[in-house]
Amino acid sequence: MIRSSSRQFIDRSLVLAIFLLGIFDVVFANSRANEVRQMMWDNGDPDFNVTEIPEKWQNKSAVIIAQSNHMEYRKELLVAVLYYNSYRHDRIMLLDQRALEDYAQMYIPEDGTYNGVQYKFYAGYKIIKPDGREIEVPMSSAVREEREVDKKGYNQKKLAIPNLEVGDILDFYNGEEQTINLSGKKYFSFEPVIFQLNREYPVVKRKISFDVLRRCFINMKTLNGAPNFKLTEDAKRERNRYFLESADLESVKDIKWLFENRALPTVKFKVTYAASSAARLPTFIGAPGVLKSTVSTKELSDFLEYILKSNILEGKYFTGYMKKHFKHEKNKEKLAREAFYAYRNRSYIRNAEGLTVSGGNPYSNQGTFAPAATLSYYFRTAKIPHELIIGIPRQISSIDNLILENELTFLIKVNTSKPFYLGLFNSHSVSGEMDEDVQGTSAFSINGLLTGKFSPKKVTLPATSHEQNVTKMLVKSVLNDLNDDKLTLEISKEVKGANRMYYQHVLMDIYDYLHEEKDKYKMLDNFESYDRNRRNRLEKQKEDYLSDRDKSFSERLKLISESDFDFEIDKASDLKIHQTGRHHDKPEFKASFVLTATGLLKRAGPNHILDVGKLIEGQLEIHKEERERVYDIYMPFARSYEYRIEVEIPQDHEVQGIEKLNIHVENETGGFISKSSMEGNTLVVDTYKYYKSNFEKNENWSKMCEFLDAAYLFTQQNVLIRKRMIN
Amino acid sequence: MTERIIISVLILSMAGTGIAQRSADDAVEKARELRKHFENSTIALTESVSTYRFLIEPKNGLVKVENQEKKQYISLRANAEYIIRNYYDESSAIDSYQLLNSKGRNHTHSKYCGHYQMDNIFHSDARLCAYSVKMPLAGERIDYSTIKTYNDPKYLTKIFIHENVPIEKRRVTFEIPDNINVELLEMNFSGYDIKKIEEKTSTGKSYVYEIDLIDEIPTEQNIPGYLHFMPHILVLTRSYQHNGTTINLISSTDDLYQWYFSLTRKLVNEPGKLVEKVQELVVGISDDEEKIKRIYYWVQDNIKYIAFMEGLAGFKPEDAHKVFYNRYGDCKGMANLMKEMLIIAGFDARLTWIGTNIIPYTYDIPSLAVDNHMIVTVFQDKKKYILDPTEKYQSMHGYAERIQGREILIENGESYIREKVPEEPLNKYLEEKNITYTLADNAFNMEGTANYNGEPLKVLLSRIKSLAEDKIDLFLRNIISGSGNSNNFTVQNKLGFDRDKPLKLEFQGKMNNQLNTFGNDIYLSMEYEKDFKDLKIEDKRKVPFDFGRKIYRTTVAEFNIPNGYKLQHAPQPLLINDGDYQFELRYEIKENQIKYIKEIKISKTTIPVSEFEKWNNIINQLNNFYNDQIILQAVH
Repeated sequence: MIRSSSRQFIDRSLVLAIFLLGIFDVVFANSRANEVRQMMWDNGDPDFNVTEIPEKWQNKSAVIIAQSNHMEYRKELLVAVLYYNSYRHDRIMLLDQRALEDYAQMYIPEDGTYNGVQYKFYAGYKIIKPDGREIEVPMSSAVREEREVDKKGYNQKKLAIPNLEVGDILDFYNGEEQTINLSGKKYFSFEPVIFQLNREYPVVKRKISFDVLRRCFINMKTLNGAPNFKLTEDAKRERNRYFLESADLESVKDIKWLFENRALPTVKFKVTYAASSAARLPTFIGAPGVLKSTVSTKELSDFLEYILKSNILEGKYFTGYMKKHFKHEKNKEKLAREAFYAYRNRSYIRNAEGLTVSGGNPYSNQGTFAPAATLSYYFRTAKIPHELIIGIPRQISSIDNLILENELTFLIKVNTSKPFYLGLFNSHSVSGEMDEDVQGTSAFSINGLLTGKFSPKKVTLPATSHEQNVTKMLVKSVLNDLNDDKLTLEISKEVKGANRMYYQHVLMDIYDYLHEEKDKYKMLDNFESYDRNRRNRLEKQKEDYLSDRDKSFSERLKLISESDFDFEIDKASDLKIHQTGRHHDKPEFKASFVLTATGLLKRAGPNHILDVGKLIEGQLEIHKEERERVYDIYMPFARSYEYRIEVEIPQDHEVQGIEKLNIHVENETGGFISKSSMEGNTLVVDTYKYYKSNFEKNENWSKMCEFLDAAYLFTQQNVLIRKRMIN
Repeated sequence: MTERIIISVLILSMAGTGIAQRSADDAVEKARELRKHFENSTIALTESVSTYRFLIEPKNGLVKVENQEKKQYISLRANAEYIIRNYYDESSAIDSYQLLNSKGRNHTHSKYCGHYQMDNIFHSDARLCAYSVKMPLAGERIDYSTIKTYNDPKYLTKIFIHENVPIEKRRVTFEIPDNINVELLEMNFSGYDIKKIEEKTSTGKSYVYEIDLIDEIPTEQNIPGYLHFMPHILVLTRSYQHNGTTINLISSTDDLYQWYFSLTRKLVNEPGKLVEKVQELVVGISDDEEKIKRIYYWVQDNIKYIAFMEGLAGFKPEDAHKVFYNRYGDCKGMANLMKEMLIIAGFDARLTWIGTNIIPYTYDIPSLAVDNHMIVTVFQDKKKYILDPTEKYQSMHGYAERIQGREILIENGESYIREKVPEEPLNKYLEEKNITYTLADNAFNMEGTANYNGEPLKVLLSRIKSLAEDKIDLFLRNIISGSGNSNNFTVQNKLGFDRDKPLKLEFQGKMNNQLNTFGNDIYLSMEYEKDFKDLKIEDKRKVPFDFGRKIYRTTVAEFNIPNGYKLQHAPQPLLINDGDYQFELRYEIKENQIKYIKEIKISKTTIPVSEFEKWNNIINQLNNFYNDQIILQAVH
């Protein structure tokens, strides 16, 4: 626990302990601290002198009167040192106890050096009382806490803000100054940042500014109604300042099906240092000191040509493998599909057993570039017509707003007689499948048979329909003894399309599908590809893993069933995987299991009531607060759920109330349809719920609510089971 | 000659391999064996030996305690990871530690040392070294040993027998020389086969406690304080002889109080800085109780709980004017501030020490382990007001659950007064609902009122005040709807939130999901809250279940049978009167009116393990009642 929280701390602040500072450093540090203080508090910005908040926000917990973020990127002349300074200034009125608690305790990292980067931190806090008095909090009242991980210090200061009361304004700043030793590096890229202008509390004024100096490059784009950055040039100081100001931002928190980066005013940017030699490389960085907010197709083409070259070795190796193992296969479609599965084996399956038994993650994400580039290389060699497609995940932005190299995602369209995509790369993905993140988006396509001089053309990727992403379930139960409220439910699931990944990951492990790959790809037995020590260890770990495997899967099954169903589950057992769903010929994941449930059958005088509606799993309940919606609806994919319930009741009993199980709501956003009937002594209910698209405009929210409400209403339905009347 | 040496070395090394292999096989076998006992654990201790050696430091004549821990961890499953924690603070130090693998070599590990966040304490001297170890295979062993020194024995108050992992063989030894007077109190030993061996040593006596095969410290939800049920040894270092004189440490309650008093005597309160606020609060008020209340509530509402517990600050309150200025403090700081403010207002207010209900001891035990909290007692007109300013939204006319029935130590100059906080009667916990159901045009609706008093009121107010304004409505609807659907309810709070008055909510509900029509018959339930329906205790639970407070709930609901219908069936009444658990749920039929009466009284906060079966039986009966329905039959 300690370690992990310490790690978080390291990741967040990248701080190391400093030892003893000399007197000179102390003096310098104090004078710099004063400079930062003046820059933050004495800059004459009138928005940071405001003491009133708009009437409409008087009932909020807190209102941010003004917030500014200022960042500076600078390369020192002749010295291989890069400076990155970041300052944040907040002025917030605290209007209730909750907000007061949020801001009463502050944590300030201690100056230090980490991986060659020197960090200095500055902070200042003052309180403005309702009568106008300003009280600055002395930083000397902060306490120091020592934290040392493997002999490296990550100390921090903690400050409890004194004299802070409801109705006060807290005006505070934090500064972080990094000195980065380039040590001969010609290229240094800061982490890309994407954030929204809206905050948890409403904001009166929000300001963001950048100073980009000597040999620093900035890619930046404002999105979704965020205002554009304005430029002021300061030739004397070789400085370009970009400035954005926004106002009147409502608070945003916890909204269902919201892609914040797509729906809220957003800023994304990345700053790069590149020496002139490195700047010539075909990246998206543009010209030094000049904000760059578009990428041309030429730049994209050059970039692709450059990065594809970097993958040649891997491509050659894989091509060699394919030539050796599939030399007699002439059908290009078959070859393309075989290549996909061979690549899947090499990258995701070959080491999965070792990772599984040794507690590692057999499902690590390896990105999309390497698989797409490697397959493209082979297809080019094998003269398989294809396109390499470059998109951006839809939760990040549209391809029109491309500015960063690292937001790109790659896939392939194989243009054989029946074109198909290779667009999802993991242990269970099949040929013909595409990552839900790019479905329905615009993307760029290049001819994969070319090696350069690409002419990217804009394409729209298809989105899978609700008929392609289907979850089917059959629930069977026999009510032998109506006085026993424990029901045995025999459940079969068949999941096709995007939904299946969840079940494949949770309900299967390598031992469910190793046999599908072992012979075909000549995988060695008993960890023979590892050295002897590792092999021995893995064998022992495997024995241990297998001894707990059944129990562990039963626990997992119970856990996911408890999350899927809204009733109490005593036991989950008999998990059987009937089809793994890992090949395009058999893309459905099929499994069955048994649940023992309580609370579904209730006594009602001489009769019984069965909560049959609950057998279709828990359905989304839209709360009053959620019915008003101002943002568009972004869902992962269109999908449908086709469920069948079969409950056999005792011969001498009958069922009443099945007509309530017949519901029909459909509109252009989706639907919920349920039908019930008695087949002999078996109550049969079929339900079908579907979401027609992965995206709906906000105006359609009430239509979506119609079928979501219908599905929820179904879960509340029950039927009466009574002794058959003898006439 | 050389050849012979090489052969000898080879033979020796082969012999070594053989022994090592045997040892590894034994460990694997041991892991298998222990898995049978501790089937859900990934790691265990085959042996854990704690030794506490009391001695007098020759150079300063003070008592200190050397603590040696020797533990042998074994992984019961592959890929085991564990963090060994070694705590220290200003009065104790880690002198050394060692982690060895089964070959006797240093075991590679990551190490964290430094401050840690202890509960909700903002800053304290509590520190730890945490050693993160990995054991890739089942049956791997790690030998861990550490030596620590407690420089002041009064801070060494208790030793638990159990640890965070299960133990095969556990031993705790105390080595106490004759010239140090230490009393060991064995707590909660009943039900555990703990052997005690007392032996003479060259300097005094040793006491050894041994037990085999014990589970890890439980981590279930709703556990009462561990001191209530986990076996532990209270260590009372009372006095010692040095150079012919007897030096008292804490040998009696008097000594404990004198130490506390020595700390409070050092307070440098500046009451002048509080006068203006006190006058502002009590101006124009003649009633003494009202004055006390104003000050009490002001401290509750305006002083945030932020605790600094560095060294003696863990025991000595912060000066009153500092707490006042900071607008934050811990329980001692708040108590001291309130005491000073009350004194300014003319009252006899005293600091008061107390152990909350997580501690089972009384002040008969002279130990710092006896208390953990500070409150204020006001003596006024032969009345005593026991006030806890840390307890947000606590009415002056009641006592929080956690201090009820607890013994208090009230300052009284050089001496002290021992008293008890009164227990609140169950009727002060009343959560009361009155409901009327109606059925018209196929709509089954209800409206009602709810009143919350005492501890439930305080808890509700604390939650409400911690919510954003726009989240309060949903919260109130969730409270009213119980296990029903909050979407079907609207709730109004017309009287506002006042800790001195019951919280009165008015509500309306659309209850169609409580009603079904089958053929000509109507099936309905007037019970939608279903209190405790999911509170069946798992068979495997071995530790008491704590509700956190006593419970008293009543609901009275009425429904007029619609014209054209007659009552065909109503659930049989459920009457359980089992001492501390009382349930009365029944339907009364009068002419065409159905009245549903529910009264639930749980007069103790904890269900002991021995009563789990009884409790689960009650829950089964409750669920049977909840599941049954009223049946109205159409009259032809």
